[in-house]
Amino acid sequence: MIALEKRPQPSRGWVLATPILAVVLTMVFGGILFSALGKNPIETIRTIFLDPLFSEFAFYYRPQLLVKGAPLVLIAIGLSFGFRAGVWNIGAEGQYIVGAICGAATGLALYPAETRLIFPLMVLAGALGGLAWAMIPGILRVKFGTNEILVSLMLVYVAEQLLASMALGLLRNPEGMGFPGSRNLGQWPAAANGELIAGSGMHWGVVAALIAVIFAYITLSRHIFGFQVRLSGQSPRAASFAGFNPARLVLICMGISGALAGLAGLFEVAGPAGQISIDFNVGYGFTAIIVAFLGRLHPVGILLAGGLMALTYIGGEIAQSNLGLPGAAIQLLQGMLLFFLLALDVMTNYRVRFGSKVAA
Amino acid sequence: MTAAIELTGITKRFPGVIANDNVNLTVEQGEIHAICGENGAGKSTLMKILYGMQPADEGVMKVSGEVVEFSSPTDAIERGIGMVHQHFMLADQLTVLENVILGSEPTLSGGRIDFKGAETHLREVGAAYGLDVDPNDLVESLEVGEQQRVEIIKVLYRGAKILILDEPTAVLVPQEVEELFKNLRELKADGATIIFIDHKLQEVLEIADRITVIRRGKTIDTVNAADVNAGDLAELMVGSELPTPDTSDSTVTDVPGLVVKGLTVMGPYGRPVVDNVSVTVHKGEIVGIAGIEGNGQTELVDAIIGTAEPTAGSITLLGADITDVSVRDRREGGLGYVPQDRHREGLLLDAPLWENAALGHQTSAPYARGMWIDRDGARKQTQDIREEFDVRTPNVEVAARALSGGNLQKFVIGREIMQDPDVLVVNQPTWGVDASAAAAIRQALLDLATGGAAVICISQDLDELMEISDRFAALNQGQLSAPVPAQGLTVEHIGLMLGGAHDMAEAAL
Repeated sequence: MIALEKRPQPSRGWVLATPILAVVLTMVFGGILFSALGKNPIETIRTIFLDPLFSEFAFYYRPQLLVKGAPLVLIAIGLSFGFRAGVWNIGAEGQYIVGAICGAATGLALYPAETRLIFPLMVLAGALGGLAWAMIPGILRVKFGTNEILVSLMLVYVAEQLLASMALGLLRNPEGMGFPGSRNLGQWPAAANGELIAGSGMHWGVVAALIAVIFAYITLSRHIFGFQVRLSGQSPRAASFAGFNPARLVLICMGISGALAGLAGLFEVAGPAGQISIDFNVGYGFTAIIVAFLGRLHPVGILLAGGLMALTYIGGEIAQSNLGLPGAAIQLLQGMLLFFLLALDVMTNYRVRFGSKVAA
Repeated sequence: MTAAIELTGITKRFPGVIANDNVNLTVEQGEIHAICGENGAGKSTLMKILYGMQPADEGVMKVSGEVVEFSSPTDAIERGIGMVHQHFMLADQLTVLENVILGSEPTLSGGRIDFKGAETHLREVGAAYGLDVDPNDLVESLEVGEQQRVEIIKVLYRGAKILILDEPTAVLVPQEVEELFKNLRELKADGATIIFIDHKLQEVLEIADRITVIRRGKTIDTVNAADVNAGDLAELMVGSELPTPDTSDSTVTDVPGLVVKGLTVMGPYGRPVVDNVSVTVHKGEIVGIAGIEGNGQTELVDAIIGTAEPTAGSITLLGADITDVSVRDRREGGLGYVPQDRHREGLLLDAPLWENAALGHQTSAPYARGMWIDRDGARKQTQDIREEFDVRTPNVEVAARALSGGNLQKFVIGREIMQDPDVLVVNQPTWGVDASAAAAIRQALLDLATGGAAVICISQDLDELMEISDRFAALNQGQLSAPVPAQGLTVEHIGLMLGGAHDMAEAAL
């Protein structure tokens, strides 16, 4: 008989080992999945995890790592505040979309002016847009006790409809021959979030993500707010006796995650994506949830996890084009990663005992 | 006649505490025997041992004269012992019948369940004991009292002759309690033996034939219900050898530290759990509040610290009205707090000790400088707490979980006292703490009052309250007796106060 026995203290070794083990298990079961799809499992795994870094075309893929990783890290950092405090914002995807819409709309309203102020204004609008969208579940929870998981998630679908309506209506390019989608911001220097160093993939979003990592690290370890975030997640009751204000904490955590998701959306729409289009969002907001947990909600961990997830995105695209792997298989792979991580998390708090149940 | 149950010398140790210390209990056939004691006195542990859920470390158990050893509840059930848990273990979506047979389904050939036979048997059991429930009702459609009846039938259906009821009245409204008592009397008339765990004195006196009182893991006495009153029981439960308070160097001033006026807090069912409580604690004074668990202590403290909202009344801290002020502002205004349940309410068990020291004081020096946590300051302060209050820990980086209960309590008390509060609210300062740590904690509270702080101490330990209090009051069903000087109080007087006979208590003065 196998029994789980609670550890007196969470195992530090397992805390660090679970993400690595989860990656390994994902590779193993991903391999089984790929061979069931009729692909060579070893080759597929290699294509997804190694080719972006080491193949002969790596010079093209490596910058992509930054391009894909930046929004993931930026969003995941924001989410990690809430997740630590027990505030479950699952709707970063929606905040990402609304941030992009607000940022792009601000820029487009001033088209075709040429002033250096436009891009900063767009950044501000993007952050505020994401923040406002996140405030909806935040305020509803604080005022009416609604479940922020459901509300934030459902607002993703609202945001997607809003995106489609913007791409087809208000923000549609008047010179676009009637095609859906806004003007291309990338072709308008005042609003473009271009590469800072040519060929590096480095854009303002990457800079913002790195700043967010440092900001989060310092806030969580040194600031009174970070102290409250960390501790109220551990024991809400003790936190309320200690005089933490739970409502304020919910709103601030929601605000941070919304603003960062909005920023990520803006940097994407003004940079790699270039325009508001119906299919603008590709799921960064959801993948960032995996990134946040894979990174153990720690800023540095999130940075590494963001890199890893970006790798699966790029490797997944390579596998799709070179090996004909269906796109859904990649999403499955990413989902598997979170699944194994959560499953293995049991090991940090419990140890497995084999043999007959010990007479307690 | 052989006793139904005879426990001799039962001892059960958990890390850091002795839950049962040489407990003796004899329950006669066909009696209703109440086990009475505060929360944490060891009643539940004793019943878990009797029901086979936990083995005793020492001691002998006899059922109907035979020595038994249970390794699981199945063994206990075989011996005719059944337990009705405080929290029902029923599946809402199933019928009464399905719930009753769940886990011991009578089968026909081919593995089919014999619902018909089971229903007949169930009706027989119900009729025999006067327990009226329709076997085909869905459990979710039943009232709480009826669900409890289903639990009792479930136990009887399995052939139990000895029933253990764990705080059965805690979930019931008064009419349901009456109904339950009627059922229990019928069960008794039909020859069942009932062990009834409770800490509500009136109920125990009403239903029980004999009462065994447990305090701090030890059996204090077994008495006939007819021979005692509520005051006597209260004394047995909380202790009675009163030390004389040492008030030779009384430092009580006439400056009010904390003034509570007409405070009322509503509980569930729209009943006040704190009922028009007024008390003033002066600087340099310790006011002790006693009371049997569940008489409004928790809610009173919650309202003072700010985590519960009073429906009426006011709270004044050093002359400033704090009734509508946040917990944070109360803390920063000089209110310190030691919660009853340090593990859940006062500590973060997985966080390092120095972060725990900052808990509740995270915005004040030396834990913070402006908006930033002062890690060095916090560590140094934690080190000071450790030395000043003799907290045994390898260093201040270990997780709080690693410390023993007594050490953690010294740490929590130290954390508040080192912050130099003007008013300190302490709930059960020495609960689960060994004698030497308890003495150190009491001395620390006395020193704090000597230094000019106002201290309000809530405790179930009368000895403790007599030792440190300048004035003494008792909570009974949410009402606070008028505080009286602790010096010269008699045991009889305190018993009356605890039992809620405030007028008689005043007359006895």
